[in-house]
Amino acid sequence: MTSVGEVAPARPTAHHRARWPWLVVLAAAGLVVAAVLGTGLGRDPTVVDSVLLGRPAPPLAGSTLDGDSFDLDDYRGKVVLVNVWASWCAPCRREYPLLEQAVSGLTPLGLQVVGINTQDTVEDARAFLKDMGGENFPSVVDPGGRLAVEWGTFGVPETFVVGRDGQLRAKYVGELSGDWITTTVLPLLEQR
Amino acid sequence: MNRRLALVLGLVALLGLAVAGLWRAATPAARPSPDNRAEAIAAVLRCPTCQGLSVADSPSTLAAGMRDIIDEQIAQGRSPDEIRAWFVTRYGPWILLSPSFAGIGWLAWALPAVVVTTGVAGALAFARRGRARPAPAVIDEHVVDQTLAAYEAQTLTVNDTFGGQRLESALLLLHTVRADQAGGVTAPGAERFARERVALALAVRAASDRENEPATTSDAAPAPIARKARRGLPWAGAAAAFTLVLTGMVATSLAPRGADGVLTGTLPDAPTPAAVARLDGLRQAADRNPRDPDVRLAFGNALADADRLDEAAGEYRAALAQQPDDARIRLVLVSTLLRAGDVDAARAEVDRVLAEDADNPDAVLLRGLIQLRQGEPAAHATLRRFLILAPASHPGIELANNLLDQDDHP
Repeated sequence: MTSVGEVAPARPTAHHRARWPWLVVLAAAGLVVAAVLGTGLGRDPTVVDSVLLGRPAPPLAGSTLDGDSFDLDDYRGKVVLVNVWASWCAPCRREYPLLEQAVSGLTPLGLQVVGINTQDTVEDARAFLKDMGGENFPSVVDPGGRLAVEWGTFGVPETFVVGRDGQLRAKYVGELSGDWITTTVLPLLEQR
Repeated sequence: MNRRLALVLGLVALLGLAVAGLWRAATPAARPSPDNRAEAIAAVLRCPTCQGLSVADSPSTLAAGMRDIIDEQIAQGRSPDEIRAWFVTRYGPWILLSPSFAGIGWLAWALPAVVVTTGVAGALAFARRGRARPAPAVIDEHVVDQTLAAYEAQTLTVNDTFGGQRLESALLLLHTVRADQAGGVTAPGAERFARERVALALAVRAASDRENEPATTSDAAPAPIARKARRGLPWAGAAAAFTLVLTGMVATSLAPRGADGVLTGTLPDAPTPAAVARLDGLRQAADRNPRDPDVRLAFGNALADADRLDEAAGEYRAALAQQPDDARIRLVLVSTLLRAGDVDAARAEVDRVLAEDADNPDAVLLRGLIQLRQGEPAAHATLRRFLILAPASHPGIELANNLLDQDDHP
């Protein structure tokens, strides 16, 4: 006779046999998800597909830092570089010399540079420009960020290019590079 | 059994609450105040700076600017859908925290339901896998009798396995029951029960003995798994039915919103798509050409047609700001104000027209109507004067006649 206190043996291994198809399915699903999410890794974060590209540029009118008024509609026929900046933004400080160069070098070709000074105070903005050696282009005041929202801005600095026909042609997120100006803005200036 | 039941009930209750919450969020709310409306709109927009937060929650300056824009547009009388669309034209569909149902967005809504259902089904299947037992409904009486006889004659060999122990216990039980019966003690159903235990033990022993033979483990699997699947079927069916009901409820709640609509928030009174498109086109034209009186007049007319009288009045005033001497626009403004019920403002405007041109028949008619509205007895004289001044083809003649007749012959 068998003794009473014996423990039953562990349940048999035959059941494990049914599990491996599920593991394969799970692994395949994981690979699919990783592939879908991974497509984002190859994209350049500074090249943003703005919804407004290829359509008429949003309105840009208001008073500037030095008290004048500005209206984008008056500049139809010129290529307008709209730079969204603020005094508290460090990359804006770094890219300012580039904008200066663009103004001095490209204005004869028909470029007009204008800034949107967003989420900032007039005093701080003027101090910023004084630090940079003076104001080279007009900047429209936008304390509440309303103009920035009109242009679909995510943060500062962002730069937009409006073509001679008034349509929004390009957008650059982040600190400007000379390469981008050469490859994107110059061709627009060369078209008449 | 009780604990499992409690778990299932708790799960069903939780899912029921989730469904109720989703349904409640999707049905249109009653007319809220402007602050609530602004907050409701801000809550479904994503802050561009702090991209995980809604505009209502975000502390960034840009979000504050967006909240100001929302307040402004609500004051102008735009509907939540229009305001959301305004932001979408500037930032893309990404700006909405709730993905719309069109395109790939449906996946965001369907996926949680699918995952929950699959997870629940998988968990239940996993919990049940250790319990598969062969449960014979019909027992082979002959085999039971044979085994019992062999046991009592002590010719039965029982292996030293779990299955063997069970068989021994079952046979001992059956033997005891029959001995009791022979001795006059019977419990109803006891022998039946004991025989079933023996049959069960025989089947279990057969299964476990087969498994413990080293060479042929491959044929132990099929029967238990088939039974497992059959027993899990009611649960899978329940889960599928539940998902269907959930999908049906959400779909019926969302049906009035259309493919591009946002999933929560109040539905506006729906104008036709063509009218909306035209209105949007005119609005864009007005935004681009704010100083062109003709554009603003056209936009104002379209708004008035859509019964948005206050906005229309605003547009007419803007057109008048450019052309203050245009009596035609001012009179359109007067009739719009009258329709909207702002009689005092209408009176002020029509008096301004009459100050320039006292014999303008349209102005005189409108003044008469205003006076009538305000209950002044001079209204009749004004209307009669209109009848004198108006050219024969003027469309207001019949109206004036009717009004005069009504009062003359009450």
